[in-house]
Amino acid sequence: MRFPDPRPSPTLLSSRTGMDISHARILIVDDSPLIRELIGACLQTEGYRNIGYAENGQDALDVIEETEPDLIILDLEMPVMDGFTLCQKLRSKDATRDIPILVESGLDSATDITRAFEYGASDMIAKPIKKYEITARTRVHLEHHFFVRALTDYHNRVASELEQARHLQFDLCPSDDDLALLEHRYGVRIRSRYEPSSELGGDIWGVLPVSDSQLAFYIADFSGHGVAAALNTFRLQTCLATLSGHYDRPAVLLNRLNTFLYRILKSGSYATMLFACLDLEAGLIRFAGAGSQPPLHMGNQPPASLQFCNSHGMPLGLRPDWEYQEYTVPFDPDMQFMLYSDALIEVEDSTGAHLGESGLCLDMQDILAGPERADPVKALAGRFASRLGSQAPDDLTIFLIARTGRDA
Amino acid sequence: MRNHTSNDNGILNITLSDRLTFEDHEAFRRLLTLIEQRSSLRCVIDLKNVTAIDSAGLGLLMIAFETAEKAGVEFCLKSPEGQVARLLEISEFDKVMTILN
Repeated sequence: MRFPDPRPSPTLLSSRTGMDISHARILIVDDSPLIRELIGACLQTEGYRNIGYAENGQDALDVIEETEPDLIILDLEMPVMDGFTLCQKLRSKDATRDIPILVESGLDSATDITRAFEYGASDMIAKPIKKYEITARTRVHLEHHFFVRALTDYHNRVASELEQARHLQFDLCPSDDDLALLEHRYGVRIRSRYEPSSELGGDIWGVLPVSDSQLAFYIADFSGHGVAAALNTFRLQTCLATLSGHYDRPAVLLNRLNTFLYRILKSGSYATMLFACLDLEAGLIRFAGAGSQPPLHMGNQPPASLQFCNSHGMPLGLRPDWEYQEYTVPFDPDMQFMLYSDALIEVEDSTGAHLGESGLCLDMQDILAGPERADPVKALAGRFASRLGSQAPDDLTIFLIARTGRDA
Repeated sequence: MRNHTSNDNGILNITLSDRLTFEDHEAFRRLLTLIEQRSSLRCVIDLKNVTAIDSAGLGLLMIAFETAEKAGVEFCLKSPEGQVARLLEISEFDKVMTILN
């Protein structure tokens, strides 16, 4: 037997949730023609107009193969294939795993009921069939089924859109190929790590060529996480592109970005940022900070001297017309300079205290003295991950630039 | 975040403890209404027992300052320690509002 074409419903089926469930496909599986008709008639008078019938488990499988029902009303004792076996088969396949199965049976011992549920029945009705009971339970299971399906569809759609947005966000940051070209052109080595804590992050970093001897770079971190923070990284990127004339003047650049973000961000929202410009001819890095973590400068005489640079400044978007201070550090061959987001030092160490700048400094000394020195960023990210454990993650960004030898 | 408020001699004292984070948004907004009511001419937020603050928490402190500024209430932060003090320092909040140690 097959599902008939839907006919206009004789009465209007009103769902408590306002959902139209009259179109639901219901499959009635029973070897007794009389019971099939009785249940079918009960449902039709309620307004269901898409009812199919099968006379045993095997027959039901054939129908389901062709069209998946939204609900199955199932007898347990039948020839050819009984209801227990059908339950088991349906629950073992992905396509039919979630179809609600309402068992109607004359078997009502505790053992039978337990067995039916173990095999995957969703609910049970004892014979003789009572109209109010079968229609009420049908409605509850259908509403639940459609509601879960709608939520699942919504969830899948949003997840797929977030995944696309995540790719777009990664595309904002320089690719490995971009970096390789810049490394060659400027005689530097760049290592970076960018790990959003959820699908989308509020962190961004970038590298911007200024001239043959000047290269600018930055990291920024918007307060909060998720979609709003991520969208703001796109806005920042757009605004930055219009300010290319100021890439070699970090303090002026931050002043302009602050003015832009103060206008568009809501009160209390902001971005921290560290913007720097490497000047190869002068052998120094000029930088300015806006509430960002102090950059770490590493000297070129072993053992490398480590120094956190002063980078105080009001986070972008909090106060109007803010003047930022410009700082400089020497950047001779083999010196390194690292920017990082606060997640790196706010992670808790084994004692439960924040790692802090002192902890980061110890980490870096350890890394530079051993085999990990070839890629300190990778080593720091590894230590961060092992410390993070079950702590709530935050977006992590690390950017390190090293000036290679004069012959590079 | 836990909080305790008292009104002594025209000073609204707000004492915060634990962590000040995004989750405290609603509770913090309720504290702001106390500032807006202008029942006191001065508001002191005591941070001595705040162990950590996140980016949203820092934003909340700036909103508190702006609320006081708009209401004509004198505002100050008191006794920040550890990570809280460090974050206020690198963010130059001391150039906008009074921070008492």
